Amino acid sequence: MADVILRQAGAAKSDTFTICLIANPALEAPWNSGAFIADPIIGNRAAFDSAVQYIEDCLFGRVAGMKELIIANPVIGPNVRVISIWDGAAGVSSASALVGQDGVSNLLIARRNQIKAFVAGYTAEGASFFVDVAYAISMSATHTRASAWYTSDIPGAAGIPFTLDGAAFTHCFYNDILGTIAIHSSVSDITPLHEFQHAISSYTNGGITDLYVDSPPAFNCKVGRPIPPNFCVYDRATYISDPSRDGLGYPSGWNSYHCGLIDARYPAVMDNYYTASSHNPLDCQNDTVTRAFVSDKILAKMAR
Amino acid sequence: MQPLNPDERQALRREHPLAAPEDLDRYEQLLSMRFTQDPNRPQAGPEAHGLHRTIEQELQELHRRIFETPNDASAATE
Repeated sequence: MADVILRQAGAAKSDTFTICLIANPALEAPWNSGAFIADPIIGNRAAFDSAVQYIEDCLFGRVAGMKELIIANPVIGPNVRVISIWDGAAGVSSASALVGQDGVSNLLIARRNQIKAFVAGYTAEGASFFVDVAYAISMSATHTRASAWYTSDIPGAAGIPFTLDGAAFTHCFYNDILGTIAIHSSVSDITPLHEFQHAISSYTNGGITDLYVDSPPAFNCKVGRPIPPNFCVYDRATYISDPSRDGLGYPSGWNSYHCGLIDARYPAVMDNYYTASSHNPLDCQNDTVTRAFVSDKILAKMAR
Repeated sequence: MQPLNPDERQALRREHPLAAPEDLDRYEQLLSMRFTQDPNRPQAGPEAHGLHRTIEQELQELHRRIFETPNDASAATE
């Protein structure tokens, strides 16, 4: 019997902005192999409940000492709907395997099409729900590292328009495929927020990429040397560049550079937060344009 | 993608001392790049499709080089 819990109702409106936390019934092992095994999380409800609580606390800035409070913003936090799904009877099949174990790393990888179909089969308090971002929580014995796919928007769909360096984009109200995250039940630090910011971003309307490798251009990452003083113009506001990548510095072979940080003492949330000089990932905050962009994307979806 | 904890990277270097740091850097870069491509739209263009295939091929090669080579330095000289 499925246990679908409305953990937070959010705004009283149709299609409330929704985050869904799912116990992953089965693993594709390895990813893209067509072979499936049971995920141990289904045998450990306490581990699932604990992970759900931590992810929620991290997203809503309730972890003690956490500095990045983007969703704790009073115009965002109370309006988010949070739903958890535990289905001990989902069985082991391709349809119930929401996570794959990568064959070339210890990454957990979300199976986004399966997640989209899976969540569509449930109701919360008698009503179906539209999901914006989903976490599939696994207790894989071998793979522990989280990853996320961005949201796929519907081409030409309605939303709130924005400009980036003069080019026109849209924060879409609805998605074609929701943002998806595969995460381990032992999750800690700011990993849930890091992955959320990937997942809420968009393949066609601004992607938020990792800043701890020499990444190709994305909304929060540019390429070129010398690093210019200004990073970008987002919706008519100018954002400065980070010339030194806080205290980490840009490795000599890198071409990418980032936006200026909210707190330049620590790496960005999308950078390697494990390398914070304080040894505390909770000290890390976003760069200025990522904070604005992620907030705007959530607020746009809340306005649908 | 969750970043690699420096302690984990050090442990990895200890377990695979013959793994070149630049290989590890490239491996991490490719793992991250994988998620920047929409997996549902590889038909977005031959260039995108080719990039996806290249990333996966290079990842497999790097994985072999880093994780499947003899991890004992003395073994390499025998």
